[in-house]
Amino acid sequence: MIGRYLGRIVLTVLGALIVFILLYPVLYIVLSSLVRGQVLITSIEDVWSFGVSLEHYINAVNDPEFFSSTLTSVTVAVANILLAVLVITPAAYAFSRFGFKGKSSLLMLYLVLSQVGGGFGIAAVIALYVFLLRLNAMGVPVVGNPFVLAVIYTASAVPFQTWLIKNYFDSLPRSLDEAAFIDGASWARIVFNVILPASKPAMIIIALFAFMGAWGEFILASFLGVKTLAAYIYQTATGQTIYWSDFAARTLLFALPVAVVYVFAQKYIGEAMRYGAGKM
Amino acid sequence: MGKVRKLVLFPAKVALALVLPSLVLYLFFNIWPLIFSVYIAFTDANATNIASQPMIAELEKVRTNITSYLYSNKDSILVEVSRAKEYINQTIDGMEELLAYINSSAAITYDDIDTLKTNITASMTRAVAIVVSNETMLYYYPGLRDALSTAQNLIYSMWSDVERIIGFSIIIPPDKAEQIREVIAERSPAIIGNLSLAYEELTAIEENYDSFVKSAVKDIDKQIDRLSLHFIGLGNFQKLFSDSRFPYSILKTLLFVVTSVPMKLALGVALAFLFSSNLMSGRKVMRALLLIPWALPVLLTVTTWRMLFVPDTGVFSSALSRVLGYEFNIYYHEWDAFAVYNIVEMWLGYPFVMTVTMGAIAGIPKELIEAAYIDGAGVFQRFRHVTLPLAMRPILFAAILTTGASLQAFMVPLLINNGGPQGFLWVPGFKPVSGYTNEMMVLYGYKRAWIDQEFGLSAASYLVITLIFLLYALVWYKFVYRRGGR
Repeated sequence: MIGRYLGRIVLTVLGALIVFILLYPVLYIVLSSLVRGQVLITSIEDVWSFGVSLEHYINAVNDPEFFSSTLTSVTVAVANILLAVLVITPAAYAFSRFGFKGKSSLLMLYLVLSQVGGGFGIAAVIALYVFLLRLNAMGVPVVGNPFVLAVIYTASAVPFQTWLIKNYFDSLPRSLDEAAFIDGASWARIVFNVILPASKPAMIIIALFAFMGAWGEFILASFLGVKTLAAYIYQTATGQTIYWSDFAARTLLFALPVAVVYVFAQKYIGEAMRYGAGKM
Repeated sequence: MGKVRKLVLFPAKVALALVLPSLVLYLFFNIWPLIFSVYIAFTDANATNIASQPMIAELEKVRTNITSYLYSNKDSILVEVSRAKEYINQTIDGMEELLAYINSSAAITYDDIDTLKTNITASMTRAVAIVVSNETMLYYYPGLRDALSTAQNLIYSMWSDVERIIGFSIIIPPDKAEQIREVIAERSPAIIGNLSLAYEELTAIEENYDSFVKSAVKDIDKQIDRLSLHFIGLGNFQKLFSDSRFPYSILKTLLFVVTSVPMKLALGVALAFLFSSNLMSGRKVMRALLLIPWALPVLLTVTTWRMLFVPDTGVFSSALSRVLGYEFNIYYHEWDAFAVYNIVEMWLGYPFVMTVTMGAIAGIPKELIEAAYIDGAGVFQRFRHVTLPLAMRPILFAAILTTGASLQAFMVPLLINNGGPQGFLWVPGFKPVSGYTNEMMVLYGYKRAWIDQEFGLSAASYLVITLIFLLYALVWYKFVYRRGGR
């Protein structure tokens, strides 16, 4: 009994120690953002000796570029969410309920492409960039257009999200829509009174992933010259002189929404990885 | 009966309408660019010629304008050509008169020279005016333009030499006359030669007007050619493997897979088992905390690691320098940076392995473990012979995906030190070259496009990289199937 008790203490302390070691970088950046003055802290004690202040967060928020790029990011994310929900929910519903020619092969293609798709990721980005450059040269305002970026994000999330939401619809009983149909409800009634309310959670899942995808992506955004917050952070991370504490505060502010969304979407993140749609 | 109702409730037409928007988006923004990038891999696509259609269209318009102008005004231009020929003939006559004058008369007078000069210059100027006129566009004919301008320059320099010799003297003394004779005798053959050449070119225009039109738009054709994509066959692939850079990047990536995958797997699996032990208090909270690396954007986490490894001042790099006894520097030492990549990749990858493994452990029936416990199996034996074999398939699955992730390493090298440091790259059988020593293959392709703007080369490298991915997918597919997978 005592051995078991001792074992519990040892294991718990070990666990806590491991968590501390593995999360040290996170602790470090949080402390860096809180330390007074522009210093690269070399140990945790530094924070006590330099003092704690919120000046870097204030700097970040007062930075006009931070503000404008956040606005761009929100624009892109909202557009991406709306478009993704609008386009993917019906498609996933169709894949779940309807029987049509080429359905299974299309689903298979989606699966394969989203699996291998990660590998093509950057290649596709470059091809896309070239293609958009050509469009731009022809006078279509593509470069620097946040809405084009949102459309691209939605398009590249189609295979994974379709699968994810199809699985969700599969878990909803078919009798739901069938009952309404037998009752003689019109198509519009079935859609608005039965299907849409039932697919609310699906839309929320799409929205969460669409948000995370749009918020964190910076390669394509930089290519397209859309200065999202992620693209701005990336730009400040590659400069010659980096004010680490300011950078830390700015980047933590940038990461905050993603972390919050993550808490809500946690259940589905594993699935996301399984489909090879790793986070950016 | 059920089937009939299904057909009515879920008609295929509606399904198509529902699927189509997403499908169109996907095909247009993902599949189409991929196909396009395959095409680009066989072209010389670069910053100049990739998006040049509008400029080409503009140039082609100019080209058409010139051509149609030259053809619609053919008659008047030919009249001008014959006039120019006449003036050139007059100039040649003037030159010959000049030669005859200096050879015959004993005394050379300033007035005589001046008269001859005026005649020659006048006819020459008239000929040149016709050729350089925008109405005739004869200057587009390179042979004519060159011959005429050479002749003009020679005449100018001849006269300036003559004037220098004469100076302010009104009566030219015999020694100066001798000098003038020499100068003129020396220059005139070249002058007359070029003038006759110009004459011949003008005759050529008269005889073959088409070739004149063609040469008139030659410069524009050249510009259009420079702005056009060219199919260059396997040229990009030849270039990729012409030196050690790309082969080195492939080998480095494979090495990275070999080193980082076992680390990710070992840490993830070990943590999953450790934090599944019901002996540990608060393990649920700790598990959730351990997934934080996954929840944060890589932009934040990887740059944090870079902060920790900044040479001199970074927490980890200074500690490592003390322990190792040399300056640990990710910006100067190839293998220091490589080691950091591995650590970061392990840190980024373990939550996934851990989650999958924990799911597998949770899926093992309790009775099996209890049975082993009752049979007297110790902790290690239970782990070795019951839990681990049962969790093996999901772990294998995680290994396959996480290997794929290492093969596609991009964010980590990009954000840690941009694939640096620069150094000397050599792969046996390839030309040694200097370049970025830790440029993983996906990063290589990215930099060829983003920095060098060599889109063709970049696309070609991605074709090779994709081939490697496919090869890898094929290998694990076979491997899993042979193991009796579904």
